[in-house]
Amino acid sequence: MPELTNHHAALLLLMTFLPAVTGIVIAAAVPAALARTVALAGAVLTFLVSLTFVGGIFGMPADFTAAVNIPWIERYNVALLMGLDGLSGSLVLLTNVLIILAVLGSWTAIAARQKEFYFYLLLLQTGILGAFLALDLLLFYIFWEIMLIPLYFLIGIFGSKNRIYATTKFFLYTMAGSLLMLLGIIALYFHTGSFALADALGAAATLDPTARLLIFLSFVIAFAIKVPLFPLHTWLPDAHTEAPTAGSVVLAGVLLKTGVYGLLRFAIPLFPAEAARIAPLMMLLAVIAIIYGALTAFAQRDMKRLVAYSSVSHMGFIVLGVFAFREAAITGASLQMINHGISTSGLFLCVGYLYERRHTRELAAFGGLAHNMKLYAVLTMIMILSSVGLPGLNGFVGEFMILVGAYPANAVLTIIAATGVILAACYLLRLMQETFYGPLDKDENKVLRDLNPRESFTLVVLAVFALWIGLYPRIFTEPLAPVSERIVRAVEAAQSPGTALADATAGK
Amino acid sequence: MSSIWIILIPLLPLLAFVANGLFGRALQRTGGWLAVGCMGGSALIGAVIFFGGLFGGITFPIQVDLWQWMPLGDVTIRIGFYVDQLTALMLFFVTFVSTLVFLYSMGYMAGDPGFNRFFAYLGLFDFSMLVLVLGDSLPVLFVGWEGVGLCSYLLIGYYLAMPGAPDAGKKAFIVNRIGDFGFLVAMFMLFASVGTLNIQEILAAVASGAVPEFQYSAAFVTFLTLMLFLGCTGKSAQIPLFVWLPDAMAGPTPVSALIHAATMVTAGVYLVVRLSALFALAPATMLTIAIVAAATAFVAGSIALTQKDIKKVLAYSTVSQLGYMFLACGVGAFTAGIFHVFTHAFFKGCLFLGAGSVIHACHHIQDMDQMGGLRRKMPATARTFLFGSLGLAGIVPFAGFMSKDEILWRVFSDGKFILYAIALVTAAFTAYYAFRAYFLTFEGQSRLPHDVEHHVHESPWTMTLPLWILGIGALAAGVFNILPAFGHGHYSAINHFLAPVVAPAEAILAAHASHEPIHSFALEILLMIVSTVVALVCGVGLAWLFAYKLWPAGASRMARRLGPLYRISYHRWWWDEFYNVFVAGGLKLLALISTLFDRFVIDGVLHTVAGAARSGSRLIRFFQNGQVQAYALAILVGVNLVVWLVLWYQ
Repeated sequence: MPELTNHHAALLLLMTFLPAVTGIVIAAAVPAALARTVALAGAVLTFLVSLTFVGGIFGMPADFTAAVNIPWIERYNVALLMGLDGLSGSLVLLTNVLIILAVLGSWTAIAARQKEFYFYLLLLQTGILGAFLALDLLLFYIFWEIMLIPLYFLIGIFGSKNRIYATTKFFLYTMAGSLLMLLGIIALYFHTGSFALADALGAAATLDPTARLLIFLSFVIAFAIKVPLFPLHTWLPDAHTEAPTAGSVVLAGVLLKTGVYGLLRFAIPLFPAEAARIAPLMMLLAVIAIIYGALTAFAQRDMKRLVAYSSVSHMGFIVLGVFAFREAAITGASLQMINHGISTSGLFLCVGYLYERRHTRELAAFGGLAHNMKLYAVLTMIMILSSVGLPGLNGFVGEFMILVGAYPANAVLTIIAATGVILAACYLLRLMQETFYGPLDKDENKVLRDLNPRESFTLVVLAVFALWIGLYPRIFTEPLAPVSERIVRAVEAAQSPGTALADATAGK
Repeated sequence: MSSIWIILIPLLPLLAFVANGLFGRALQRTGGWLAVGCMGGSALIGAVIFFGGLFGGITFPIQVDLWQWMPLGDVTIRIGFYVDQLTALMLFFVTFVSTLVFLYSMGYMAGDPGFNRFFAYLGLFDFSMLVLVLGDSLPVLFVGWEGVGLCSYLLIGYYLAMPGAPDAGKKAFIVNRIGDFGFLVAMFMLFASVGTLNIQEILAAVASGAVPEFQYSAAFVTFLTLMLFLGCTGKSAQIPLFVWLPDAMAGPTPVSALIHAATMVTAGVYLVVRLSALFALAPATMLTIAIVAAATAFVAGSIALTQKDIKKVLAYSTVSQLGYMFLACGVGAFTAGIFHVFTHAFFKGCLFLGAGSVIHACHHIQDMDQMGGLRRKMPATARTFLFGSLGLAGIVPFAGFMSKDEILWRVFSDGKFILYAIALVTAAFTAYYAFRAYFLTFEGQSRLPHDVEHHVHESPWTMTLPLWILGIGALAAGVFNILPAFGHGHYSAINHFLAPVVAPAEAILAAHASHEPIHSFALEILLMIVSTVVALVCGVGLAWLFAYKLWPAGASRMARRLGPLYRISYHRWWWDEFYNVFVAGGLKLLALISTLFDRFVIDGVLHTVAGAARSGSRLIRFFQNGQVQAYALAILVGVNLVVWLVLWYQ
């Protein structure tokens, strides 16, 4: 375990706030024409800073000792507690990569009000990074809310036709969830007298059972809305459909993961016994989400809606893995968060590039594009295959780990969930076919040019990761495994205190 | 045998894929030759391993451990290869037939705008197929298993704009995925019970009796093996999942020969034999396999009798022949099944390539009603097609006879007389449709449109050379496994070669057998004569009569007389229509229902809540109207009310 030093803490703070600072600089002092360049520079710099954590600090102590510990509102014992382990570290890296791709993907798509756009985008990044790094519940809540506002504007200002409905729905939905969570956090605070996760961990067990369950549920509902889990998912297709490409990339790529992350970091470790109690229900809802999301995706005529519903289905796999409470399944679910970030962000970029050329997302408007957009066809194909879970690419590894892990927990639900692989082929191949196959018979499509180097770069990066994780996932799973192991231990101990004690005395 | 050679076998085709995929535009025709060279290199190594094993000099198993792949809790799935006798046999014929098909494609695909894309796909296919065969654990095998499915999808839809081709590709992929679902579930069950997915470790653990589920739960073993078999019905086109294979003929014909006849579709048989020791533990599954296989052989064979499209005939024939292979497995004759895989690769590869040669010459006419008399213009194709038909029809002593009669005998000696009868009838079907195709295409008068007929010519050497090699194989490949009845099995080289692989399964079956298999040399010879006579008279003879002598008047008279039977065959038992309505239609209906549910029920509830909130806010807004006088009035009333209340209370 490397020593936590001030040096680390400074880098962590720098990385978290660099995007926001860049955003403010863009809004205040940079001419509109340069906004995207500065934003790109900021995003790349943030990514480079985050690279310094790889292998170094990826081992936060099990008691959540924070790397950053700065007193803030001392009267209420609120501190800037931040740190990262394998789980949050991986998600931080994913965020930083995807923001770069989101900036590149918006390069020409966003032509007006650029300064605002990049300001919101980078502010969003700080919100997400903060949420992943916070080890203090109130701080987490603040970052959680910070994420909300920029995205509200990104969709509300830069979205397409029906954006006001979509952004209001998104805002109200997530707001309702986060208010519940705030109540839970405050209730917990009154009991423990501290917002620090490390303090809450021990104290939560001493609450009376009803209070514990209520607080736990307030967390779970907030996180389930964010995931989103059936039946709380209907804000997602609307938000995705109306959002600009960068918004969809970040939304699908990382924002949804904050929900799962919240479960893994806060809800389950704080209330392992309650988590075990509702696990069957959560697994059931997850399996419904898998099937229902896939079926609904199959019926969509709008490409973005199709991908959005596929997200509902894929996130179902992740929740299934989390609540299986087996090491393979939780590690798989964590890995699948990264995988879903790669494939779904990739698909949204693909749809975005087409929309930028053709100004429609109706599947019926396309067909035969493989004739004149060969590179685009190949790269989209790779993203689709990654999403469909083809062995050799990343999606398979995650799904396989989840399902193998979930099978001992609930065989019947796992088998039903596995039918999702059939349905995924149905809707994703439909996307493939209606876009690329058939004759190139529409005049508007004949003039479409293939991807330019900037656009191909974004997809090639994702494709390389897809192949890398598909063939050699160890580098990615190794930081995740200890976190899942700890969660499984905690849940097992909570379910049967007697055996846990016996294990401990046996030196296990 | 150093492991680098083993790794090279799949790596060379992968190189062909990368070269043609990335640098196709620069390489042009060189890319094709490069692919042929790569494949030839693999074939050379494959041949050395196979013959080295067959004649001694190479000892099995050869294991190659590559790298750690997926962590599953405490166990890590590794990527590695495992070569035993079964792998060696598969390696040999897969690489051999692939090389010939690659060479053939140099002629067939010449001038096609997607030439290099085609070779890239072929390279990726062979890479996947070889990973499938070499994989030492089920997930690695599964990489190949789905990889070949992907390539099949890409190659069926190769003609992007051809009506029906993309649909056929999609159908193939989705139907295969249904099978893959079974494969996945089987892997979950195996991992949960055995704790590993390495094939040899699974077999060893089950054999040692250390896995309680396999000892005490017949239901567990039966369900597990049925799930595996579901995977096989997808990949190897058996009932109920065979419907994709005939549609797959939309792909270029070399693809039909390589993927949809010789190699990929036999992967299911390979899997069953690879895990034969598991299947042997589940008698119910074995019986299911035998019944499903016999039914598939019969149904597909009956359909092939009347199809007009030469590729459709061969496609249904492939389904039917795959049925024979599984039938062999179902009665425990695993080596016989694999040997039929082997001979089938030669004669069916030959027939498909021959059909491709014809289609190539006839400007993509596939309807045999429009062919006829092609022997005079395409002598090499006609001759080799005849060889292939002889092999397929099971005429003594050609390849198909050696493998199929072994299967028929084993079904009979296992006491499954009904299945034997079905298989025998199917053998008559086989000989009939094989020779019907030959007569309609190559004999009689030409019926080609005049503008096409002028251009008909024999194919270039790149295409005829593979035809000759496969044609000779179709005649002679039987020498690898002369029927055990001749010479007390001394000349059944493949049976001996594969004996170590299937020995555990055969031991289990022998231990649990309720009765002794029938042993009778005289009976065996008698049945051989029966099947030969049936093939010659009911098959070749009737084909000569209806497809040559009495064609077309006698044939259509016969069709009318058979009435419903003819229609059942010609309309393919209406399987596709049934699936279109009930499966595809059902899926669409469910998708529609869930979409409506999403919009009207979930969002409906949401909008009602939002509406209620809005009405509530309207009520509040009535009071908060921003008029200071109203507020003043309200304050006045309120204060008075409070004061009065306080006074009244006191």
